[in-house]
Amino acid sequence: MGRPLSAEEVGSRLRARFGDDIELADTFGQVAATVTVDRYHDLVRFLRDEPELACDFCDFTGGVDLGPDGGFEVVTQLTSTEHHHDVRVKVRLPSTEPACPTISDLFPTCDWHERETMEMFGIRFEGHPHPVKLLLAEPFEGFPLRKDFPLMSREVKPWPGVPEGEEVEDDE
Amino acid sequence: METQLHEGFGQGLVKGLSVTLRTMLHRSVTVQYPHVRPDLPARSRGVIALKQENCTVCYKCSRECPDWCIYIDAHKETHEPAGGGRARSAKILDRFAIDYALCMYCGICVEACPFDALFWSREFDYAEYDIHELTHEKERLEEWTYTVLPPPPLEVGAEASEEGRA
Amino acid sequence: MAQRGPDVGVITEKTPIAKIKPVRFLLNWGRRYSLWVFNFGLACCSIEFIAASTAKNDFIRLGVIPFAHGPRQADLLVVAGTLTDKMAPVIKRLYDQMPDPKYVISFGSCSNCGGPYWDSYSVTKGVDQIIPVDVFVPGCPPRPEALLHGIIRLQEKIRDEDIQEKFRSGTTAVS
Repeated sequence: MGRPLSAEEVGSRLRARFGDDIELADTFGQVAATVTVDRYHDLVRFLRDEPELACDFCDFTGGVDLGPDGGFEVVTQLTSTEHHHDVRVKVRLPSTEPACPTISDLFPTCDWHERETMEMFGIRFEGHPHPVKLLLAEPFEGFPLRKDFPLMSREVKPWPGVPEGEEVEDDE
Repeated sequence: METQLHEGFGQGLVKGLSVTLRTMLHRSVTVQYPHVRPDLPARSRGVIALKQENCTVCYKCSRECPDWCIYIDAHKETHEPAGGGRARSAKILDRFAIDYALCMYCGICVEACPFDALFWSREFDYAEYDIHELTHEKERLEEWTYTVLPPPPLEVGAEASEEGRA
Repeated sequence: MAQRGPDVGVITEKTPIAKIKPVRFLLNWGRRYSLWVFNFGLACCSIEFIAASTAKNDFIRLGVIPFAHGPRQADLLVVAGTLTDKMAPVIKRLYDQMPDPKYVISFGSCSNCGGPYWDSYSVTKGVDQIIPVDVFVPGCPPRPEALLHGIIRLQEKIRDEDIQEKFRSGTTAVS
């Protein structure tokens, strides 16, 4: 019954509404819209409420660490169960004190997804109703999925792959 | 159910007991483990065996192991050949240990070894009381080679193997 | 450190009758052929544990009775699978709830020492850091027959066991 929109049609609707606040890219036939932090909530609400887009199912919300120069990125995948098209929303965040508005008031699924992103990357989601750790044990310090988080077992145990006395080659 | 009351008293009991009788007379599928060993395929990943005479101490298996569970120690010895000429050096293996508590039986070491010194064996029963005894030294790894099976025959239509030729 | 669990039964470290050889033999025989197992299946190894309880490799014929209703009715704890840091206090609590004498089998690489996840930020590298283990079964995952072999080795250990020594030491000393 629904009509799936192609990537260009979705892109043109988003461009018409949001103008220069978003950048569009086409990834494997689906739109990836990179939006600024202040318009993130509006974009997700528009994708959900607009009848021709009707993205009513949030697949996941995750984070990406792009290194010290790239900052962080929050990625959300939305799907329309009526029209059978998907949209990927990305938000670029700075690498120091990353903060982003929550979309758990629009999609209750994102409550847990954002809790996991919070504990793994250290991204603060403003307005989140229950920002506590989801998966990690309580006294855990640090943010494990950041690129600069060391795996302590690999630091402590000497690599058995080199004969004693030889230098370990550094890949960096 | 109403039909059972009409059929007669005790019908359910008879049906149940007939199921019991049928199961009792059915042949059991249990493999009596300690007395009967299971017949495993030749490629089963039970334990890794080391053939020391093939090992040239290249450290490839130890480098490729994702769990860092292969520990190798070696030293070089030089000796002059009897008929003159320059001194030859050879690497002598002091220690080759695989920690089977860490090993995840992926087989990367067996595949990475360029000299065919590591083999899969299908033995699986080597549980221990102490975790340190799960690190098998080279003597024990050599003993596992006696349990390694020859490779299964090639399938119909496969190309002939290059191994075994001088 | 593991604590003494609740004592069940008449034999304690102060009971002199347990020193007599035939009595000791009989008690050990009874104890090793009637282990009631509390399955602590956490990950993939639990599938192999369940396979060991099915008809093809039946561990009930070794005397291991499947699936105690809870830790308070169990003799044997089989830890099968990866122990994460969040689960560690739970397993300690369940181990403490088991009555003495109790035995633990660590099944698979992950519970022996972390296994493939030895470098992870959230995995406890070995269940023997939390509770004392009697038998370590290697494998990833071990065959169901490897579990049967581990149970047989545990039964050999119980056969040669001095129950008063076990009670006196308080089932303690994490290795």
